[in-house]
Amino acid sequence: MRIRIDRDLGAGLLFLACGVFFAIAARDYRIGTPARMGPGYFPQAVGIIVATLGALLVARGFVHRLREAATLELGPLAILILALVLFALVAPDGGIALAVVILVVVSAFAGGTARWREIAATAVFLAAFTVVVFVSMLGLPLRVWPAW
Amino acid sequence: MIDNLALGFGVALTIANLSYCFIGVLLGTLVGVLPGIGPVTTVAVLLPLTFSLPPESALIMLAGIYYGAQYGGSTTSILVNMPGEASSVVTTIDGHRMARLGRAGPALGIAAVGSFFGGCVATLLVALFAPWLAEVALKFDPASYFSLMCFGLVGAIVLAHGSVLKSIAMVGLGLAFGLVGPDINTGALRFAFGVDGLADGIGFVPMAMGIFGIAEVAYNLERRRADSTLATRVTHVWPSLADMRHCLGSMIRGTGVGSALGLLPGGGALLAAFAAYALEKKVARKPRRFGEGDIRGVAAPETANNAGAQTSFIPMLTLGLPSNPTMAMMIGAMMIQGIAPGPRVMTDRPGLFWGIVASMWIGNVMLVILNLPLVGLWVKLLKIPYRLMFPGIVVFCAIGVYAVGNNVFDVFVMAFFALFGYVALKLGCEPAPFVLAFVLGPLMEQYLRRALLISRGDFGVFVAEPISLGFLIASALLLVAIAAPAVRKKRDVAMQE
Repeated sequence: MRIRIDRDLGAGLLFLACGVFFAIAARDYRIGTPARMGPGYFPQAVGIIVATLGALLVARGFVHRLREAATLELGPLAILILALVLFALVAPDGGIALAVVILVVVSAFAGGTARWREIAATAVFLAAFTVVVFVSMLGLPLRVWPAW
Repeated sequence: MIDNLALGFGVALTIANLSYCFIGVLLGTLVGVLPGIGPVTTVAVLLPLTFSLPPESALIMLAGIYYGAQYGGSTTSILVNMPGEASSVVTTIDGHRMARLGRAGPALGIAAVGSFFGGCVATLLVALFAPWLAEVALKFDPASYFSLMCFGLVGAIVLAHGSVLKSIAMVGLGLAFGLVGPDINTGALRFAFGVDGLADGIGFVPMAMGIFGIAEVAYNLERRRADSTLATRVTHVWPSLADMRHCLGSMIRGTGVGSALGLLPGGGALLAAFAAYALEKKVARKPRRFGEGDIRGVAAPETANNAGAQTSFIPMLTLGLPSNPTMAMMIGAMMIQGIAPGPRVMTDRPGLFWGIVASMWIGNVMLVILNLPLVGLWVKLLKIPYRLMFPGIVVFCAIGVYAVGNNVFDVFVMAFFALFGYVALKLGCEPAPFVLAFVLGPLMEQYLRRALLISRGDFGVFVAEPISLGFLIASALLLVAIAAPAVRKKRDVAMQE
């Protein structure tokens, strides 16, 4: 999962998209007048500013194309996000100990070389650490063991 | 002031708070030492430890974590040439060189002494000037407040690396994301799109941890780091008397530069270290020795970054204005504790304010006591490979975010901002202006609204009010200055060095 894109062009597109999104979504709320601003006034103004800056960046990106290309390597990040999503799905009912083990094992793949013993040791250590420090010592109200 | 300081020490010197300060400094250094982890990430990762504490203890501990992390970062820069954050980059130039020449001990020692010296003086400045500033700030009208925030954000833009245009856009985006959730005036729910988790807006903690925790990990993982050169043997850490005398001037100048720059919005430790190093090079009689392991090249930036770290608390505590992402994190922590940041903190919760000030000094003492004997341990920690470390960071972020509200949705929010932060970083957009704007977004809207309500929609109010006009002129000057090609070139050179 590799994406190569000019930095200005990429950033410009990102800002343009977000700006347009906020500016349009803000129209669902009352805009009002400067003296009596509705909930949509400030967000719309901000959205328009961001979109304008995005457009400028896109233009600049086209003028000097791919002079400063960035390579987005989304692989490791995707694995980390997957690990976090699994953690979030497991934690409420499966308990924090299991969720941490899953989180560590899955996210370890983001590092490339998988060494099973090392990963297992890290997972057990971090799960124990979480339970002892966060739950026992600091008293965070988290479920530790599976509800089932 | 004596009364106030007595009150502060009364709060900070309780057994409980002393131990939280100690634990904070210790853990901050411990995590900050790990290569590739800077102060912001350290504070983000350790934030959950403070959730269950009372506000005073939580902030005292966080402050301890912050300067512990700062100092830990210097240790890493000196020993392995792998700075965790930009503010320690300067220290690597001469510090790592010294380590290579077998003088790692004195380099670490002078960094500790310098940090202590700068920290003490800067803490005194905080105690002297913060109350005065808070008093002034209480008299600000909404228009002035709005302009002050503009000034703060412009500062963040000017001092960010890279493209000014991108930084401004990041500020705008930060403001927009900060507005998600209920509108305070009308109660209208904005940008929630029927998602329950967004009914209270986007949490600061998941946002910050996504950007400074997870996104950083992803960014670090792809730069397959070459094995660093570790200067192993560290003997007699205490710098010699000759070294100390040699550095005294540098430390005094570093404190001055650092304290002043720490106050600036967008400033703090980073700029302080760069400026102090540049100044030393200018005033030194034999400047050529800089870069070859000159001990003054360690003393000055280390003193300055610690002084700057302390004084950056002034705008945070008195104006509610974060000058850097770490301070934004502190504000986030205060809000979790149910304290509204701003000039009222000092009058409403004097114990909190003066307790933090007193604990800064105590924390600095602890840093010195702790670091000189524990250097050996830090050296061992430096050998931990990143593949073993990053799952730990991920776990801490996940637990922290999940535990704030026992809320699964926040973990998804963190994942979203991890993606956003990574993409932004790769596209050359600095996250710092985004985070500051995120914190300031709702406040700015409030003040803008109030100002225009009072003036009946007349935008002239921002230039009619002298204080407000002053901030706007200052912001404009900063922006013009950064746009001027000569200054720009200089800034780029300074950032690259």
